[in-house]
Amino acid sequence: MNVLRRRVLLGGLLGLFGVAPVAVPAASRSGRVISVGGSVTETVFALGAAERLVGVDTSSIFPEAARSLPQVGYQRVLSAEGILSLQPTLLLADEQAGPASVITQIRAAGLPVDTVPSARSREEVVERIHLIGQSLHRDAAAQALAGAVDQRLEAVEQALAHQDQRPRVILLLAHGRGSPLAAGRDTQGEAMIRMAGGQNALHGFRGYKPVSPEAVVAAAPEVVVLPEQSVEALGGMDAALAASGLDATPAARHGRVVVLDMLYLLGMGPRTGEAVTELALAFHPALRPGRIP
Amino acid sequence: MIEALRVALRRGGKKLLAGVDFHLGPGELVAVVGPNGAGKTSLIRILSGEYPPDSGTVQLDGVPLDRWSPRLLARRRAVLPQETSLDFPLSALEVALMGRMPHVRSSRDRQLALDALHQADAAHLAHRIYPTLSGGERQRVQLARVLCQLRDDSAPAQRYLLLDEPTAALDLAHQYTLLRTVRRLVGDGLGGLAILHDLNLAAQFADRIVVMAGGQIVTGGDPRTVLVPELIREVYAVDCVVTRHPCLAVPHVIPVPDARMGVGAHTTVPRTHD
Amino acid sequence: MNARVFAAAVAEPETQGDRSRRARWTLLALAAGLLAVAVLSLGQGALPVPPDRIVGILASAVGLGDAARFNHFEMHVVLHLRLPRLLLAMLVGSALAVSGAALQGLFRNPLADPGLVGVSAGAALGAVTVIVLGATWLHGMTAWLGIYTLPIAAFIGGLAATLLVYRLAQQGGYTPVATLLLAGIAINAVAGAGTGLLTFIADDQQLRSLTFWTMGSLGGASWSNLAAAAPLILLPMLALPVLAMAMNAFLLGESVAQHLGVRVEHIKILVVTLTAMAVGAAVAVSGIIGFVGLVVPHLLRLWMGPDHRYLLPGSALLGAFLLLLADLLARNVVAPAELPIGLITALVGGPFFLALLLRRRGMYS
Repeated sequence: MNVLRRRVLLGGLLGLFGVAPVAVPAASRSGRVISVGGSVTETVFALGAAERLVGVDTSSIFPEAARSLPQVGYQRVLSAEGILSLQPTLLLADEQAGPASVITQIRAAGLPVDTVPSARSREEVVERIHLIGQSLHRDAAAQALAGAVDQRLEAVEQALAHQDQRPRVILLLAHGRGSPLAAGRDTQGEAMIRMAGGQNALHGFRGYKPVSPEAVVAAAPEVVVLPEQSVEALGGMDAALAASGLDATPAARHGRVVVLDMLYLLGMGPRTGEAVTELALAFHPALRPGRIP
Repeated sequence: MIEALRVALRRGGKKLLAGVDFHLGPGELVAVVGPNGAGKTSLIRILSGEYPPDSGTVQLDGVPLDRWSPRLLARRRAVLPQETSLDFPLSALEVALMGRMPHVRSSRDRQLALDALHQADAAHLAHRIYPTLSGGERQRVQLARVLCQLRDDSAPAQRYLLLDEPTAALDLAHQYTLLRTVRRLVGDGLGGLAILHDLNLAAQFADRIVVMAGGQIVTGGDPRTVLVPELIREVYAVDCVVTRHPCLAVPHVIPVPDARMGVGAHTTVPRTHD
Repeated sequence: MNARVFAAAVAEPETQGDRSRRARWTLLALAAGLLAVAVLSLGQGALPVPPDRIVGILASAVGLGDAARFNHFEMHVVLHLRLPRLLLAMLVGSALAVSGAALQGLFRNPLADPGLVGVSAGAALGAVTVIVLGATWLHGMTAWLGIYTLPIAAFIGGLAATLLVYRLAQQGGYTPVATLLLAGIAINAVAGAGTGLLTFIADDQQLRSLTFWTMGSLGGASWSNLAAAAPLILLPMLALPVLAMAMNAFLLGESVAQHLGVRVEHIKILVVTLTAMAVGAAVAVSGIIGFVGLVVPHLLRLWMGPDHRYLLPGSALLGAFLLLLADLLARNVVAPAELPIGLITALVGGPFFLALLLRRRGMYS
């Protein structure tokens, strides 16, 4: 008797919680898109699909028009209901978007989620553009954009083939207090250094790790790359150099500190070709701007 | 009867009690005296079962304490500690009511607690918040709690109350009130043990005085035989005169300043024995 | 029933004194408030769903009425996002508040906190270990436990830390509170260092889930993690009130409690274990959410006294109420984005707590 009642109750509970997700028909997928990740949004704009965007995350700051779209919050602390409330038909998100549990919830609600993997090489940068194009059914536009980016990166590669030197470079990120983070192995930062014909002078660790001023001096970089936002966070160029130990490096002594916008520098998106070109020219003063198409 | 047989207790490598034999029967009030560090509080701890002895046994009604259920034991003996601090805003009545914990809950509990507060001359404090009371007021509330704990009309059995320096925080009037209350309960069959520092209070109220020093019992017995100048000098290293109390048939101890201190060098010291 | 007994029974609430009467009314009011904020919480969110449709969705979920007339997102939001999240907020709030009350009573320190004995730090270490080493060294374990890996690891970490503190602090069968607190501080430091070390060897992807997790959030609520956490939280919720009288005796000190017939060592072990269970499970599903465990019991004590018979259920209700309210704010203030719930609890609770402390100081001076 008791067991039976329990079973009935359990059945009811399962019925309550067991609403199966209903798939959204593929044809309508790309109608209302939420884009998460600065360079993903940038690519959507570059592919001419901006009018489909109904929401972006806070890292989507380029182009300017992206800033006026509804905000779904920081890309790593998304809210499932917040995203669903915009009635999207597709969530196009950088691999970094999360938390994972929220992505799972969104998928479970039946909203298609296309994840764009991070890129750490020329091929992967190109692949990202193709993936976003496929996801938005903009294959032709993606083909053209990816081709242009690839061409630019290839040109840099060829120009660099004639350069013997591979200057020692470090790339630092700083958010204000504490030791700055340096780009180690398998990071977008290292990929940018490599594609621009430099060698990462802090190669001993994976990912972004805090480094002491002493380690910065010991690495003896010939060139330093800093995002604009980090320089601001540290209170200007002089403060930034002093705080991180950079002022004692050959790079600072010879004035070889390159400051670029964070998204432009690390986005691995449509502007990465330009960013790599700019870095390559800074790493190799012998290169003439005209030599790279 | 609570009985300790050849009890030894050590804590942290220190010998607190060694070879102590002690018994407390119903209807008697025993005063335990002795200098600081003599082992008086340790004696209460092993008699109450708070500390199990390292050797020897402690029994209540012939049954070792560790075989008693804590709750049944709590209905038979209560302990009034030297000081009970409380950081939470319980009222005096709520503290007294805690004495009913080992008992079956009943609608009379509140009345019993109020009675106990009255007995302890703390009825007017019932609704005051315990942490705001003075040291003496707290002690009276704690007395009410232990009195409340020992009230048990359901089962006639001998009960024991162990008091650790109960008069330390009390003014003169309340010292007497407290000991008179205990004395009256002893008259009704309670077995009482009180650690006292005032030898004259001990002499006036106790049936028996037990003198402790260095973790051992030095002597024990009728106040008139125990309180003699030789023993007091031996145990406390203090000279004194023992006279008869002007109104009562008990000895009265008057310490005498040490001659070497230069006070009253020419004073004649009468040696009076009872 | 004879007349006298009847009169006594009727008179009882009158003579019990203000406090317990007030406590009973408070419990009733808290239950009503919790119900109200739960209804409000189910109805409010980034996605507007009118009340009649919410009722309809709930009815269709139990088989009454036609589910087809509801928008798919609406149904999913109400049944799979808001409802589990609401229940999780209540569970976590209760767990933190009741554990706080229990530990404060056990340690006789009104300002004690579950984090104090190392539960939170241990739980954090357990979770971080699984996040960082789950893909490599602990692969077998993660594969076996699936989605329950994180909650279980956090619970084990919390329990291990608490038991270790307890072992360290125990001296010959007794646990002096001061030593216990010192041991708690030491374990907190060691567990914190372990977490820091793992954070350092974590890669970027793992760091992201670490930050989310240590910030505290109910955003990951789902029926499955609700199911994983509920038993570990409900058991202590039901068991701790049984120990209420013994915990009252503890307020007077361990030796007085023992003289009153309380099995002191048993009770200590039980309270510590049950608390570790509740806090570990809560931290595992929602990260570290501060202030609830500290302030809720304190607030209630000021209002209705320290009697655990009322304090424990009161803390469960008020903890659930406050966390649900905080989550309601977190979800709606910057919608469609969301605020971290720990931020709200600290923002609302911090100044409130300070005010209480000042008042308390005034009361005693």
